[in-house]
Amino acid sequence: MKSAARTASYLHRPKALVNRVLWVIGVCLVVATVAEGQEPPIEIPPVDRKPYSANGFLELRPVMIWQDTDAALFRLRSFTDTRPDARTMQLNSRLQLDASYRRGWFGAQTRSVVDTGYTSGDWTADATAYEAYLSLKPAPSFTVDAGKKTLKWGKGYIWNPAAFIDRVKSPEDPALALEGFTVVSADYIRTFGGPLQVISLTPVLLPVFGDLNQGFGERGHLNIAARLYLLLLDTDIDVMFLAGGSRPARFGFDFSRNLRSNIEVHGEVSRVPNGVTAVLDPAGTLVQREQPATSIVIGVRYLTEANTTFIVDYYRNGAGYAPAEMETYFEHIERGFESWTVSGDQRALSLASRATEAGYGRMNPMRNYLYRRVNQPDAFNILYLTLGASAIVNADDGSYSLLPEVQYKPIENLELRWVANIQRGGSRTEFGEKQADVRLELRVRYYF
Amino acid sequence: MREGRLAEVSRLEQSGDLLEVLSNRVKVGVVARLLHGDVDGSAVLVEQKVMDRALLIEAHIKDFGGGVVRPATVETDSPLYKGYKSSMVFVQMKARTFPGEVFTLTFMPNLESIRR
Repeated sequence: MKSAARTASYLHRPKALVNRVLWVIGVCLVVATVAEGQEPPIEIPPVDRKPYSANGFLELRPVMIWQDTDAALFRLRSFTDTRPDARTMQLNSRLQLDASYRRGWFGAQTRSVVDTGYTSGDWTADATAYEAYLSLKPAPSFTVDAGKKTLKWGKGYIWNPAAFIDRVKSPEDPALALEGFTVVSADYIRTFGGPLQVISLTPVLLPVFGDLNQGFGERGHLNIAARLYLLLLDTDIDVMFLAGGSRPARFGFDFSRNLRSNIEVHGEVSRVPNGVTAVLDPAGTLVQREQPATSIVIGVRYLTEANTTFIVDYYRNGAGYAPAEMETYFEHIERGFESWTVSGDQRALSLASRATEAGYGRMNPMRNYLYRRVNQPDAFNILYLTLGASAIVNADDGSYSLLPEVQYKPIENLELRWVANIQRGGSRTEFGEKQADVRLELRVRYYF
Repeated sequence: MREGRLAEVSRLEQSGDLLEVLSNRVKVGVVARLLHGDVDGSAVLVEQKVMDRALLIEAHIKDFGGGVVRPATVETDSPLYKGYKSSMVFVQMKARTFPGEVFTLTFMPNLESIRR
């Protein structure tokens, strides 16, 4: 028995030895391959594309505001707000969810935003569908969309007078998603050889009835707009118009062209032949002034070899107020505040509140502005660290707003952004009379 | 503003079967088009920012059949992200023809719809 076992063991030994030797050679080959930097081949699974997608972000945004208690707009606010604080702490949050579904010709897309905020003991919450529309794409050259959507017309970085059916961008974050309007629109595209390479037409129907699009303008009108896009001699050109009655009819054009691969120039012009502006006259009456208004944006964007971006935009607001008109407005608030605090007379401040809502309180209400921005990604050779600074200067009264910012992505899908808004100017100037002197904001955003 | 037009290749060198492209703010899609013509975007998963000033090394040319001869892998490294390497692996490449309308600014928001 013993002998038989020994014989079997002897017979099996060479096979086991060969297996061991082959295993060692295999390991050596793998180690040698990896050592030479050639990774073993990886099996890539086929990409399974789903017809739907969903993503978004969750954002926390604490804000600290130091108010200018002598500013006209702080005094005006103290008239309506019984507890105005010299320093305000806000805690805001936002949940944005983007979802889409595509199958064949058909597509559906939504962008929903839920905002909550806490300020001085008061909680607010708001849920809004920024976009929700259906698309039909029977061919690449023809698309029809119906529903709530943003159209993003215009080429300016923060001012877009030719964006006739978009809301106003925030100067603190021009890339922030904007709420759209409910429209029916189409895109028809044709391409050619020669100097005219592309032509596309985008007609838009925008109804304002009842609660539908009530923020757009006067109710009871079906508004019509259209944009004609040309790629002509390597220059993007858009020509657009808006008519229908909810807002005064207007037309305009914009262009964008790269002079070199790292220098781009852009511009916009809009003309409102029968524009109406609410003006507060020195006698203390709010009157509607009808006058044509031409607004212009001209700008340049430059990218250096060090990856620094410079943007300069000039904005001429044709419907804006002259310095004397703004002084009258601020003077009216000062006088009204005095009357209210001394004798309790609210009439002048009530009028000033109405003037603020009618036009004086909108973003950049005067005539000439200059915007400058510098942006440096991967600053100090630190990956995902972006430093930026922008300035909005009111060229009429010399007041300005400075916006330094730091952005960092420490880990994947997490973005930290710190931004300040410092508003400075003399008495009776736009930024000098803003209610906030300094605003500090930290934004923590997690993408999913 | 057409960001795509900011694409600029600062250096392009051919050495044997290796093509090195030192990109300058080139989007990954643009680089891929520069190198291979139309590619299946679903296989390109590298984040755009990693491509900034990245050194792109193309290798391993493969015949996908039907006259499609393309690199099967594209590798990059970055002077900012030292010690790391990105690899793009192209699989299941199929030639597709798109009309000129697809490559326009107006169609850009709908680009996702041409993916399969």
